[in-house]
Amino acid sequence: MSGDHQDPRDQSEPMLRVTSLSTVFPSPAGTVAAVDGVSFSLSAGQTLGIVGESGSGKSLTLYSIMGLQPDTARVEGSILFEGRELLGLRDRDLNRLRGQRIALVFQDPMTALNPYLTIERQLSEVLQYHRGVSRSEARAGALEALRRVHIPEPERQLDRYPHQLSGGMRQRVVIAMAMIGGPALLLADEPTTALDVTIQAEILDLLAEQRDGGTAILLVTHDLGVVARLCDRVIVMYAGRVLEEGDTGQVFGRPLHPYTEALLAAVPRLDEDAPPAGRAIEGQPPDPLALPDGCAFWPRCSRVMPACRRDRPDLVVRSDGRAVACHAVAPDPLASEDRP
Amino acid sequence: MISRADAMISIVIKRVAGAIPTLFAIVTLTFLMMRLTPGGPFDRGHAVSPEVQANLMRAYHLDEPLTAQYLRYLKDLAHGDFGPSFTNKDFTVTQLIRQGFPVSLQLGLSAMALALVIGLALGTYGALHRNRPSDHAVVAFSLVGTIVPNFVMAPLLTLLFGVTLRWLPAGGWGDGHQLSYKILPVIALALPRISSIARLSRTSMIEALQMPYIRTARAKGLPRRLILLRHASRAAILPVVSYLGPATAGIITGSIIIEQVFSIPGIGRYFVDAAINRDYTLVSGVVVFYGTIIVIFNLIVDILYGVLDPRVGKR
Repeated sequence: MSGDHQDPRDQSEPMLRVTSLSTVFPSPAGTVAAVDGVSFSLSAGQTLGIVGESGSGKSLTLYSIMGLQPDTARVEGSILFEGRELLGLRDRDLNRLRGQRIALVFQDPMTALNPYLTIERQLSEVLQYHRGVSRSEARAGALEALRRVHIPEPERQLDRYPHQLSGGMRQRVVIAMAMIGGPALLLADEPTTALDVTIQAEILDLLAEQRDGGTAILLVTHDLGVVARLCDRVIVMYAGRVLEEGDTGQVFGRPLHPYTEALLAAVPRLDEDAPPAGRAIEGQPPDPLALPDGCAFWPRCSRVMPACRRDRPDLVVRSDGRAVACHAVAPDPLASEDRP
Repeated sequence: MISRADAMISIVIKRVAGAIPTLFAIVTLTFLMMRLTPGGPFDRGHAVSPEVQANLMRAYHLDEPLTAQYLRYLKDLAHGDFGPSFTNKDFTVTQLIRQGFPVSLQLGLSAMALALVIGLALGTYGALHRNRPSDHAVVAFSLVGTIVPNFVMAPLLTLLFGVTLRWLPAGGWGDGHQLSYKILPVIALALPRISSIARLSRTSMIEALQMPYIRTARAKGLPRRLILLRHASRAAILPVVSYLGPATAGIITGSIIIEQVFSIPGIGRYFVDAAINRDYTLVSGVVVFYGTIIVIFNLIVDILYGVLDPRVGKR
């Protein structure tokens, strides 16, 4: 639906280029890579979705970009944002980007807002701190930010506290808070998961508006429907690694990786010929402390081959621009046309 | 926010209304327990003739039936009169409290202020350096401060600074205006409170810093100092505030042990003497006074809670 969304800047260096990003935790049994060699890039006005089960490392990828990973974690690789390497930046330098050039929308609007501070304070402090504007200017800015996310009676909401707002309103405030600094890149961590279905649709429309305004969005979700609605491209993660990447329409229309296939089959559908509850993927996601040899997905895979248990497949970019990490998928798109 | 102010007022009214039966129960129980304790205020004198004893009993209405005494006491209390002290002749209980309370109040408030400043600083420092050696030092300090009782710490301080080093007076109160007499008792009073506040604020600060909204604040690019002072401090201070209510009430009404060890003329000492001498009115008076102070401080805590947490009175 939005695959034709193009920006002139697409041709040049992308806004965000993540290369071999790994987020590693020390553990008694050695180090654990919760994010393991993830690479992708994102241009202005584009929307990239990251999907996967809980524990696949998708949210941690977001937090690592912002330098908000847990204190014990070590982040390796490269994160180029607007041509600047973010890894290794001090907090003070990162703070000039956070809230201004890169903003984050959190999963749970119930807990993402500070219950002790008014909505105004939480919005205006971004402007006051980063731009040094006066209290009244900041209030005007906060009001404008609330208007942009279509909050009813914005003046009244400014003086209220989070507990006085509904969940949908709070998520609008969270988005307003992220957008108030005019970021070029918006990172969204499960922005609709905690909301009612009707509110979810409104929040997705709101995110689409931000994208149409030129903001690049990196969206993490386990909801494939959200990705289908909003994202140009999609990355499928499993056990910290990227298994498949491509245009949303292609990946969802004709998945290459057996895991993507299984994820799509697990979505409940109302089609006549599909089981209504969806097909759950058998087995559990692997313990990050005891990943199997070879491909991390093979114990649950329907097309497992001897090579899968031995060698971990690399992410191979095919000539049609899609990328997949699977021994069972032919590297050439022409050859894969006649796969079973 | 009119609705919030309304909620606050209704909390205050509720608390004050609730305080009346509490204080009534305190008065009644103290009255009964004192009378049920063997012995009386005029039993000890060896050379008192039965006639004199009877006269004394009559003068203080101790010859009347218990119910009559109780009703008389209640009536006087309602007029703000705690009655005469039985053992400190020529003094009313009100006069004795008025004499001792300023001393205990000054000592207590100084100790509490010291404990609050140092305790919060230590606790916050520990929380920010969690599980590092400096944090372990904070935890160890607060553990020692909690387990070493006052009656051990106070004499030790006196011995070291008053007797061995001779830096400070070992006891007494001077003329009431000399700072040197106040240092040791204030420190001795403050130490256990420093420990409690450090422990409480360390735990609550660690908890507050793990709240998702702290991550939101970091994502907004706010500096650490602002996140700590504006975003984390509110949640972190609340447990300390609820501790402060009863703790301050307790400390300003006189520490029995500290006032005894340093020979300080506060109400803590009157209380001990009164209990030993069966000075019915003085014991009751001090207990009622203490109860009132606790009620007042709990009310202050409730109000502070309402100011600090916008969710109070809602839900």
